[in-house]
Amino acid sequence: MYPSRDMILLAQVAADIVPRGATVTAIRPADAPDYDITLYLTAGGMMPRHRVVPPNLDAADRPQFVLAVREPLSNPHYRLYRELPEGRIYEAVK
Amino acid sequence: MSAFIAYLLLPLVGIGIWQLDAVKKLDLGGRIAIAGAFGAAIVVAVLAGLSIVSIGWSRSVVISIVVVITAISIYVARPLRTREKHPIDRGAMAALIVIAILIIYGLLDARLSCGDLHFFWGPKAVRFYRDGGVTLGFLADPNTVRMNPGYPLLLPLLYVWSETIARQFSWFSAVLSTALFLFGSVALVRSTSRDDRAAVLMAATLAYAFAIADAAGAGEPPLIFFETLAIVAITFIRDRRAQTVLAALGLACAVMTKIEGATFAIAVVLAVLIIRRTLKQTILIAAPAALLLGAWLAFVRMHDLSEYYRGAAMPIYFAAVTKTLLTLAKAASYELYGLPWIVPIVLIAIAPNRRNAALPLLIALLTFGAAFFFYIHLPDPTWWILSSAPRVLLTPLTALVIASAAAWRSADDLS
Repeated sequence: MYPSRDMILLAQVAADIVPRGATVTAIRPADAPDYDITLYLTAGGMMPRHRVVPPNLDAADRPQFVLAVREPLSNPHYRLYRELPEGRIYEAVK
Repeated sequence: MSAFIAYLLLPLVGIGIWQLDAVKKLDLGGRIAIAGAFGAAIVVAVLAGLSIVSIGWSRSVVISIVVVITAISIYVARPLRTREKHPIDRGAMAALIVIAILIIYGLLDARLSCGDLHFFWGPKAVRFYRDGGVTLGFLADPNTVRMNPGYPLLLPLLYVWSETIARQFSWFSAVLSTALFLFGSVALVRSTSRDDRAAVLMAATLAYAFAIADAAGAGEPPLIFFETLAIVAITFIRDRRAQTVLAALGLACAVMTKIEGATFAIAVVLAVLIIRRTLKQTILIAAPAALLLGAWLAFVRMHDLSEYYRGAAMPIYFAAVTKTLLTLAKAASYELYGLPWIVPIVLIAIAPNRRNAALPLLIALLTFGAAFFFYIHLPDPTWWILSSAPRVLLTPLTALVIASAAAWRSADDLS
């Protein structure tokens, strides 16, 4: 199964959990640092009320939330926000 | 459900094109398909026009305009009933029904879905609808550069039409619309060629190739539909005015559907010039497409949007020619030893009127050559070819199948 299939399911659920208007990106953590861009593009279609952006997790203007499929994300800038059967949602550490 | 009904309403919106006598002579399937193409063009023009004059796409505004146009369309198309009837080959009809059931099953379980539907065609439509119009802010946003902001907008706007009716984007309706475009193409071939067996070949070839190419929901199904309209108009329709109007409609919609539509339009222009040697008609056929594409490219360039139309100006890698040919041949085999190509080629070879196939055959050769030409612009295009060629080659494949139908028709048996 393609990870984009997992992202379709996770993004659908996350759309009701992540605050509207928040910046969000979508990744498979194992792909780091060359994340598959199709995952955030897929999430973009599933989360029209959010601002879905490319996965620049270490940039100064990093996304407020990260949707992660399959593996857990290990990044000092993010902490676990919600764990779901479809994947995990991480929130940026302020 | 209402999201899918939106697509079914398109022929009603465009029924005004039945005013053309040559269209009136076609059977109902062909007339509905042509009205559907015209309806799609109208709906997209309404949505684009509203964005151009900065009027938001409220449901009431869009539907009111479309209802008025539909009413005018029905009025000018009268009388809607015609006495034209064509004999039906029952065996061919049964085959078409079996193919339809198979492809609809494949579409409904989503296994034929194209990734591009989820990566940019769908997300673009979702965002446009949410924004209430095509906004430069979205297209010029650096975060959307991967969504091909320089791609023409016909398909996302068709999806927006569906969203407008349903108040939400339906991924399954987008996928299922593929069946409408596919059987619209088949109806066009059947109606204009009056050859039920050619329609079966078209249906079998496209359904199988769409499945192998995972084309559902992507730009190719509508692109092939509009390209089919253009090709059958100049191949099978006798009336010069209808030929010109329908070919122009097909080309205009094709160039506004996908970047490859521009290549197809150039191929059609060259083929008509070479085979028919009619400069005036060629200009009339190409003018709407050229104007629309020119306007879109001017917009893209004015706002410095990301686009790939200048791919032909990139350096050519002659060292990649052999590898490109081999990989292209592998993709073109459609996992069936190239049978989708072999069947129409054999049909042309043994046909009584091979000369009639010249025009669509030249279009097939030119578009196949164009695909090869673009692929040799990368030093190692293997991944690009394998991921896109099964869809890109649908255009020459469609033209080839239509050529095989033309080769079995006599010159005095035009629609």
